[in-house]
Amino acid sequence: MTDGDELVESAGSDPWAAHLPGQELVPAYLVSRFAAQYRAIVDVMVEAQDTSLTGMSYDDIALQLRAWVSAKTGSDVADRLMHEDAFALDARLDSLVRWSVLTRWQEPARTGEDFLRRRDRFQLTPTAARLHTFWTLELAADEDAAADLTLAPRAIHDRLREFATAIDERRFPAAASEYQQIIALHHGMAVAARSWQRSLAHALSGGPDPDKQEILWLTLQSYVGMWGEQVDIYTPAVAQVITELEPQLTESVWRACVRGALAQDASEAIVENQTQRWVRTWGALGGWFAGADGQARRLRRQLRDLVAPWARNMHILMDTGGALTRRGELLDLARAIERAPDDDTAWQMWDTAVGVFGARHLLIAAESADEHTLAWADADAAPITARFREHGHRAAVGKRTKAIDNSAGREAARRSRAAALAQRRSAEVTLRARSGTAMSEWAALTEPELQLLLEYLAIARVRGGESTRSAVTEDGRWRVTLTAPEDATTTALKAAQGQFVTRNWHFVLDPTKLAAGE
Amino acid sequence: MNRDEEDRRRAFVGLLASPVVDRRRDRELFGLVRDPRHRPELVSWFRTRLGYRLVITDTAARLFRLPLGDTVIAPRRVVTPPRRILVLALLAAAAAEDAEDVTTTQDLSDRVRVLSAREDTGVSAYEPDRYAERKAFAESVRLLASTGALAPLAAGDGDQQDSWARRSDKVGATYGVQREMLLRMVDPASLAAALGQRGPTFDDDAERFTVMRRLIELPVCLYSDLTEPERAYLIRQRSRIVSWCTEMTGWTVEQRAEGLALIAAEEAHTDLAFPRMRAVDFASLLILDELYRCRDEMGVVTESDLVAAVAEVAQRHPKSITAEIATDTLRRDRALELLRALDLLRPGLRPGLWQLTPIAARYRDPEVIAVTTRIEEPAP
Repeated sequence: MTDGDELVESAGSDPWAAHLPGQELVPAYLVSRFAAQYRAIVDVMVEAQDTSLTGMSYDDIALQLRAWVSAKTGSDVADRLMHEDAFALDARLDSLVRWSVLTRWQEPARTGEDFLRRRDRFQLTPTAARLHTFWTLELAADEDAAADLTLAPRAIHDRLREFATAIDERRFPAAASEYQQIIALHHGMAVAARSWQRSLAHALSGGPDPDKQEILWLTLQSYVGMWGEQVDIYTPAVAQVITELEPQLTESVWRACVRGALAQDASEAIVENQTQRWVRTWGALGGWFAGADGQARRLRRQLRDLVAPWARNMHILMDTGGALTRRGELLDLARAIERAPDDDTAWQMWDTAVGVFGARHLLIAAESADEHTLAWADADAAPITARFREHGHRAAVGKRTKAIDNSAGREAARRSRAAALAQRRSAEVTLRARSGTAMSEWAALTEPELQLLLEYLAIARVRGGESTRSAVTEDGRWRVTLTAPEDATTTALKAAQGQFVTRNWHFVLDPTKLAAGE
Repeated sequence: MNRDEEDRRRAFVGLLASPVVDRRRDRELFGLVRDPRHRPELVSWFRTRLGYRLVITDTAARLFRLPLGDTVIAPRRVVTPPRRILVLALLAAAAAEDAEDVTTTQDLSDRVRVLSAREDTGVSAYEPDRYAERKAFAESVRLLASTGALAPLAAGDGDQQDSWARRSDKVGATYGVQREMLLRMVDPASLAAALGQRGPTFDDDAERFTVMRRLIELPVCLYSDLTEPERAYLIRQRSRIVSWCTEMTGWTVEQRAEGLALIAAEEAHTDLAFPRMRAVDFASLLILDELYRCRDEMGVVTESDLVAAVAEVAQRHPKSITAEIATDTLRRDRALELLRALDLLRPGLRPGLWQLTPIAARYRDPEVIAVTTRIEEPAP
């Protein structure tokens, strides 16, 4: 079994490699085709580092590897996997040595037996050991480390106060010891914050999915559980101490502190180096806690702002299959509806997709509704009434009512009255002309004359026993005097309408004083 | 019956009538649905008897009528507005995802204009400069609000929508974007069914769901409309089904030889109350009565019977005719819409024939009552 085709070897060299760090073969065991085998070996080696300081012999490796694989997969599978045809430990170890994952050396042969057995010993290179430890570190490990920092802001505050007191009293070794604790706490917080930031950045980037939501939830839990509230409580106090102490911390004070922490004969270079690191940490502390927009508070805000949307999204993700936008689906549906053959089909698609409609039912139950053997046609009808509002004529609907116009009628009436009066006046004149005569002598009468005469006869009707009667007309203008004929004869007056038969009156028509005065 | 049962019935019936219940707009119903005493039972009832999903969030409750196979059992629409409204409503929903939490008709309109102009959107472009389009858009926003994705922030948004359609310088109505409801507007399974992308689905409870949905959602569940297994299920389980329906609604189930009909107790419980005191309902009822008289033994009538019945009503009750149904054509079309929506009349096997469904018989010989309108005189 060869490993020649395990990795694609690059041909030629990259010009960048002349100036910057280039190809590294240590991680090759992770990307090889046989990574499972290599990783198992490296796992065993890393585990062994806890108990052995001098590496492992070939036989140790073979033994431990079998035990390790058996523990993971069961002995039957392990036997099959470790069979010589499937697994060549020699070749694997050679590759690991070539990639600088392992270093190999030989034990010196002391006895004759030693010459017969393999004397190779193997140890992981420092880079490989670190890489593999990092690689196998679980995400939760960050959280575990952070869990030790539950009271970090409070501890920083307490230590800072002690530090300030010590500086005040010029007890530099004591100040240094306090400050070293602060550095450790700050480092721990920084590591925890970095892991939270990393999780947040990952969870908030790109499209969300259930895995990311899970990570986010863990992050929030650990943050809130560990030092979320503490940041709010202690930040102002920490900031105050930092501001008060700042002027006292001159270069020489820092150096005195560093010297207090180191051995008497520490070299100037080490002191200088450490002083710079301490000053940097001090600056970082200021950046974290001082000011309204300190990093600690900003991180807290960032996480807090995440809680509400997170809770909301969590529900939706569970229901909607992990998508936070439905645009694609909505547009798909819109396109399909636009292309539907008719409006009915389109609405049917809408109803199927959205399902927002009211249920529809008939009203008013019939008598004995539970007779299920009876057909509807034979069962009682439901007591339904057909009601309607009566609507009458609508001729006037929409038109304005007008006042009745009588002017034409009034004009006609006026004209007719005037005409009637004129006729009457002329009739009066002609009847006046006949005054003092007996009616038998009269010529034919016109209609107005007859009407007027009838009126006069009615006024001056002769009562029984009298021969003469005289009366004034209603308008007071004329006095009519009728005298009955002595022989009681009658006469027939001719008029346009026919004949008027009456006694042969002697007719006198005199104007009254009123008429004379006009 | 105790108070709890009564409340549960109200919640159930309320959800049937309006599957989206907004906490703010319908506080009482939302309270009933969310009540821990009713909620588990409602959820499980909908799930086990109807195959529906009831989702209750902090701000709203929504009943998802999930499809069976690839259909949802829904009553026939009375009027079918043009589909452009649906397309615009979906575009507006897609646009609302990017909108601020508070948005307006004009804002959505602007976003939809941009969205629809993009090539990959694939629908005909929205032109808000045309009155017809603006009117359709105003209508579509209202439709979207009915799904709970938008919540009107001020009363009287209808008026504002109308004036928005007429005038281009208005912002229209103001809405709060309900993101949860927006994301939940379309259930993935329902969407797949609507697009015909759902593979064959098998459900052990399909017979129960179909029968129950027909009873709970439609005016009538006729044996002749069911498949053989569904019919067998209904005959076998009739009394159980009837007691389920009565338990949750408190209504009467009218059981007859041809099928079952769940009869609602109040007008508000159905989306199309019939007969109301409207000229259309009156005419439809009398036309139905006429048709019932001249049906053959299969319940089939011809188009000429229908025309005669339409004319007869106007002749016999001239005072019942309003402008809305002034002509024979108008009267015929409106009555057909209504009778078909109520599943009293269906198209026959051949064109020119109409089939009366058995429930038409419950409307025979209605008592005719004329109500005289009085002109209200202003109080002195």
